[in-house]
Amino acid sequence: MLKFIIVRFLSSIPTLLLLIIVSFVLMHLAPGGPFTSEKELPPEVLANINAKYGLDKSWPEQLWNYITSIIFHFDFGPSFKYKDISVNDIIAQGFPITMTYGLWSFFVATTVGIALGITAAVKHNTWIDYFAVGVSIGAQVLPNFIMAPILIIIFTLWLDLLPGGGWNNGAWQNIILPVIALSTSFMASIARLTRGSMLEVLNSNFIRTAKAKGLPARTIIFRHAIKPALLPIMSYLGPAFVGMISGSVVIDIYFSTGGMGQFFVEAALSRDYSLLMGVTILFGVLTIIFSAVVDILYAWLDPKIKL
Amino acid sequence: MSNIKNDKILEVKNLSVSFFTEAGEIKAVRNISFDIKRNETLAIVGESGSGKSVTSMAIMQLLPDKITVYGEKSSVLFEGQEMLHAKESFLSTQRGNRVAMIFQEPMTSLNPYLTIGLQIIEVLVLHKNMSKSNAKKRTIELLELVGIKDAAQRIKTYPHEFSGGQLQRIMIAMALANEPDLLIADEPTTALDVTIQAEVLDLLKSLQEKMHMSILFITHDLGVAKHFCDNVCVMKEGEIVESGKIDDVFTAPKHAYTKQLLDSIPRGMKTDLSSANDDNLVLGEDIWVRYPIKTNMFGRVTKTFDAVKGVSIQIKPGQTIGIVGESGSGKSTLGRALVQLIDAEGTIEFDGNNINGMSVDNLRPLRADMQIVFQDPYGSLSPRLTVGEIVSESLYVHRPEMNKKQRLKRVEEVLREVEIDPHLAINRYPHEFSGGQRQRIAIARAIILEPKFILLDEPTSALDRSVQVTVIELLRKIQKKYSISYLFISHDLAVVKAMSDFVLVMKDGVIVEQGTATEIFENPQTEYCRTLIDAAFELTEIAS
Repeated sequence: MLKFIIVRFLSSIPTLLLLIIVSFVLMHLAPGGPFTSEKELPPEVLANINAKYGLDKSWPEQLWNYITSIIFHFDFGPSFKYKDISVNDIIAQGFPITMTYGLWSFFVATTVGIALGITAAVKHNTWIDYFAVGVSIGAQVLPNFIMAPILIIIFTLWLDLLPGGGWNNGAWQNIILPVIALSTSFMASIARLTRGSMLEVLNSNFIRTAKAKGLPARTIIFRHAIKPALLPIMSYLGPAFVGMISGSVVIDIYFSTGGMGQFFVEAALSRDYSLLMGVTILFGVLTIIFSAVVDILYAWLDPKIKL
Repeated sequence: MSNIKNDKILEVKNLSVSFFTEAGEIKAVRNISFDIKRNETLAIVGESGSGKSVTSMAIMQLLPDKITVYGEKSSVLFEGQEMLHAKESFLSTQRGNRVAMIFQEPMTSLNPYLTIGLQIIEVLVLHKNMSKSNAKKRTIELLELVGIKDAAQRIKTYPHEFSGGQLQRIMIAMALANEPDLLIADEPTTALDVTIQAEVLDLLKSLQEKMHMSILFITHDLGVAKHFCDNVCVMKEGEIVESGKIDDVFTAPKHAYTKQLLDSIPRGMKTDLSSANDDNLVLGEDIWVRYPIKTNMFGRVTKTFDAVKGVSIQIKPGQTIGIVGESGSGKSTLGRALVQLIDAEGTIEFDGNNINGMSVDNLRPLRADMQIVFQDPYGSLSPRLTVGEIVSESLYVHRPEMNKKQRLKRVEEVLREVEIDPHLAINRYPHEFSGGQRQRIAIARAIILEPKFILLDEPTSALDRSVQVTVIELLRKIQKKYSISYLFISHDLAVVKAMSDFVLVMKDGVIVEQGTATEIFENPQTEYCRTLIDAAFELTEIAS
């Protein structure tokens, strides 16, 4: 088990390095730079600035300096755009916000999705099933960038129940709308997957055996059916989490929540190399950690996989 | 059969079962009646689709409620109490307690995510109100009773850690945990190897005597029924066509269908068509097939599983070599290595060419002369192609000079050869045909290029006995006409005996015995071979 975990994490190091190199190269390949603007700077000023940020060095040298400062000093460098603020500062400010509503969204999407899916499967071909399927198909065609304005119109402009933006130190009123907007389409996917998987399990031979043993329906569902039905869902949770993190870009823009997504977009538009790299790496690391956690959980739950 | 109490434990009266599906009403069981006395074993025999499994599921009330409709006068009395339309609360006191059931596929009938211990313990706790620790003790006793060694350790393990035969023993332990009055066994040995089959049946028999229970035994295998049961009902298309004492029915069958079933056990032996002077068509020397099971961090293989270990084989033109062995003995792997569907080490020659390791392009012209028919006619024909397309496909590759008309003519010829009406078949899809017809189509596909060699990998194992016989006759006829060589792989010794000139017996990747069919079957040398033959023919001896 421990060996599996160690190998899993060690093997993600090359992935991460590749991610850094590819995003670094892609960014530098694009024309323009952080200090290109409509009003041209005098060449000597530009040269000074470039020297200050180390942009006058060759690419490999820049890349090497960047990677070593991350590894040895855990320093993602200064922001090119925001004067006197380091990337570390920006991440420290935005990351907790993203994680707060990201994790809430993940929690809501999985619990509601799984509950809906299981209920639909157990009540197969009844109005409950049709209702659940209808809801999830409806929810699936509402991605976060559609959900967000709709929610703001209904709950802020019409009903005046919840604030339409801002973070307010994470007050619950401010969290609700971003979480609903971000989680709805994932909740729908999880519900549909769970329903399909549960139906398959309920039609399997070992459930027939369980019925032949005289077990009550509750025991059959909770002891015999849920675990095998949820295992396939596990492999969807990794990509779903990543989807939610990248969906935070949209949420930050619509709700002005001040999370990482906002910086991501701004950094990309203004060529803030170090900030963009920092955010990319952070999202990359999150993705890798989360898929590793899912893999390990999966292996732990499935008796056929021995670690 | 003892005569302590002769009252009826199960009475089935005028049972009719229909399913209402999108395709309309399907009458699965039509007005059947039978009963079972205490300690009696009743066999229901019939081919697939005869309604025998539906009958057993109806007794247990395990059929899907929404689409199942029972006939108006239908009644199933278990110990005098009506099971049809009974309340779920009543059924759950009977199922797994007074009436228990074991199924055909032990590998999928146990929950793969729960330990086998828990799966037995839960029936004891549920029906006997036992404490967990007492139930655990009883579970260990039960597992020992059915012959699972180290039961105390193994209750903590999961189903995938057991073989099929062991899983069926565990299923039996679970079904008998509460000493039921009636056990319904639905094809309990069909998925198992012959030697294991005999063991499981012996176990059931001894437990029946110990626990004084009745058994409803559902099977398509007349040999098993004869060996195991007191009385028999023969089912066909949802009706019971004949019933009575098993010896009476099998020695003097009255109904034509029963006679047909009894006649359909393959018999006889093949006459050798090859002469000793012929060159080998297929020659394999010291063939090894290794599968990697463990690799180190850099992907290098550190441990292999050797499926075939240094086997040599020769096949002459017009000859049939039979390979027998239990599942996992490496017989299919050897066959596939010989036609280069999987990588192997060693020398493999086909028609004088060394084909082992030959490139795909160089091998292609030779492929026309080596064809394959697989076990599963459901899975090996593409469901999206018509029969005409499936059969003619290889003509496009190997006979590019043929035009559309010539191709059609050739397809019609081979379909007639395998006794399928080409006008009905050419534009239809595989799912519109029965298993036996599909296997004929697969044979037509294989012979359209008039190959020299056909690998027959369990070609009859998925078919009912009566269909098996016709397929075997067809294969013999084709062999005579084109003098094709066959490599015939099967676990069914009766079929191998009927087909082969020369037989190889495989176990754990090596040939343990070989000889002419007569030598092997009349005078087996190894213990393993004797067990295989005993197990197979003990069950089918009624045919002679």
